[in-house]
This record gives sequence, structure tokens and C-alpha cells, in this order.
Amino acid sequence: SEEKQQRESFSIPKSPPPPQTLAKLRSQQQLQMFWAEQYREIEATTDFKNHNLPLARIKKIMKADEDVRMIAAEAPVVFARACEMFILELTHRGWAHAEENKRRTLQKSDIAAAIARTEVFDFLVDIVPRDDAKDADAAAAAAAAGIPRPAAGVPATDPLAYYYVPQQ
Amino acid sequence: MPDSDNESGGPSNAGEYASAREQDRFLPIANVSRIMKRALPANAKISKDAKETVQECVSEFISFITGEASDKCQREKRKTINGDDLLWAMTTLGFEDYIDPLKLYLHKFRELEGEKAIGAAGSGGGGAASSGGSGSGSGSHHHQDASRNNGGYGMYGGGGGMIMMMGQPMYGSPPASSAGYAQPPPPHHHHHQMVMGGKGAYGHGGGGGGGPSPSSGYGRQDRL
Repeated sequence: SEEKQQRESFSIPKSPPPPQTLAKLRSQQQLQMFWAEQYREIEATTDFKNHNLPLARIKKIMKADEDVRMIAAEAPVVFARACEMFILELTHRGWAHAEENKRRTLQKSDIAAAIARTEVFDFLVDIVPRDDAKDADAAAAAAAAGIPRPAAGVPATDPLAYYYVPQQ
Repeated sequence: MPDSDNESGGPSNAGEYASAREQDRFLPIANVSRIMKRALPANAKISKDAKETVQECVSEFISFITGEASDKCQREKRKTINGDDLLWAMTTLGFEDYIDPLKLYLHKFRELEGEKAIGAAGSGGGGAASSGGSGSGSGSHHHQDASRNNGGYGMYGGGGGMIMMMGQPMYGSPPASSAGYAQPPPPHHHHHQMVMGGKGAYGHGGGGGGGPSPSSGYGRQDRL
């Protein structure tokens, strides 16, 4: 039994989850908080006259579909809020990707990555082609793993084209 | 806050001198950018192409949801897309997270519009007349819950059209099954109930307080 106790005391501690998993968990928590915040904001809403997006423009975009005949007065109002939430969510998810790459500027590649990672955004694949999104994710993975990548402006075939990204 | 800024913008691939028609396909970039900034920390920056990409995505989102809602209206032989159709489309297309906040938002908006319409109709204790017929009522209870005064809206089952557009309500009551969010209607208060008639936008229940409407689609307005 003493031997058993010794073995147990020397057992290797479980390794902490990889940083990518932690980042995923953190972003999920942030998204939950985001939706709760959206609900709270709407609960506090009293002004339905001023909107952050122009209703007339929303209606024009809706009318671009030739099957659309009439639009209730409430429809653009609902859409204005839905679009606001959509922009916020897409930006939120894009920012998570920018942070993974240790950047403080949101780029098109971040939006592309957010679209590629989120199932409900599949309808946007024509706007941001899959290749762009894959490249963005591959670059992020490479940077995280410290894999060498070609130096800017140098062809990949050049034997001196690779440099190591220092671990931060 | 103003609805939009002058700078409508638009993805650069549209060309700097794109026609006004082309610009109308997108929401103003300044407004989109302002909303994006709210989701980011203060020290964050947004590249121009990220703004333009999101701007394009939003237009696609509107078209995507509208298309689904429009198909539903066509299947149900209705001409008008209303808020419930949009919520149904969002649920169908996987945007479940949007539903609860938007359902609340739509309810609050309708409540406010209902109160406005009832207030306008009942002011001075007289009746209000729409192009659909003559109105009557005491106007003494327009502080009541709008959904009660109006027999409920589409979202809650029953209900006649309340938002008036040129004397015609923009929405009547969709079939109870269509909303997908139907809840039991709140109890009717028959005491001095103020109701508005007029022709329902798609032929359903234009009658007072959501009652059965005559075949013409015009509702009679009575004090119940």
C-alpha cells in the first residue's frame, strides 16, 4: 500500500488544456454575454423613432427581390435591429480571430475566418470565398505553432525565404 | 441619432463613381462602421476592406432573410411581409439567438404603435374614422395594454391591423400557425373597448378587435 501511495504521489499532473481550447471557451463565454447584453439593451429600449441604420435603405434592399410585393411598416424596424445584431456578432467573431493573431486591427481576413468558422454564416461564402477564409485560418494556425513562413515579397521557392516567427 | 450619414460608401470594387442605383444595394458604410466599433475595444482599429466586407454581408443577410420570408408569404397567399415572417425566416435559417431579443423588440414596437393609434383614435372621447368605415368609442381607456385593446396582434393570435397607412392598416392578423410564436391571447376587456377597423392588408380580420370581418375585408367598428 505504501508503494501504491508513492506511485500516486508521483503521478504526472494532467496537462492544462491547449491555448486554442481556452480561447474557444473564452469566445463562447463572450458570445453568451453578448446575447444577454443584446436582450438587456432591448428591454431598456423606448425610442423607436431613431435607428442606427436607415429604414428606407433597408426597405430598398428588401424590394430588390422582385417577389416582394408589400412590406409592413414594422418589417424594416425589425430588420434595423437584426442587422445591428448581425454586424456586432460578425465583428465580435472576427475580432476573436484578430486577437488570436495578436493584431489590434480588424481585417477582411478576420471577417472571412469568422464566416468560415460559423455555420449560420454559410450563406456568405460567395462574398468571402472559402480560399480566403482557409488562408486566414492556416496563417493563424501556423503563427500559433511557430511554423516558418515565407518572408514578404520573396518567392516561396527561394531557400532563404523562410524565417521563424519568434514566440511571444 | 440620425438615420444615416452622407458617406454611403460601398465596396471599392463597385467603382468610385458607381451609380446611385449601385450604392442603394448597401447600407451606409459610416453607420456600419459605427456599429462595428461598438463591438471592439477602444484601442482597436478597423481596416477599410473589413468595413466594406461587413457592409456587403449585411445586404446579403437582408436579402437572405427577406427571400425566405417572401416564400412563406407566397405559400400562404399573402402580399405583405411582416415582422413575424422575418422572425420565422430567421428561425428557419438558423439565427435562433436573434429570436428572443427581436421578439421582445417587435412586441414593444407594436405595443407603442398600438397605444399611438388608440390615443389618436380616442382623443377627445370621440370616434375615429378610417377609410374603411366609421369609428366609435369613449377613448377613456387608451392606457390599457395595446394587445388587449386590439384583440392581440399576429404574434399573439387574433388581432386586426393597427398601423395605419393612408387610412389602411399595414397588417391584419396572419393565420395563427404562421407566426410560429403564437401564445394564448390575453383576456379581452370589453369595457369601453376602442378598436380600429379598416381593410386588413391581406384580407384577414380587419374587423373591430380582431373579430370576423365581412367578406369585403372591411371591419365594422363597434363599442363592444
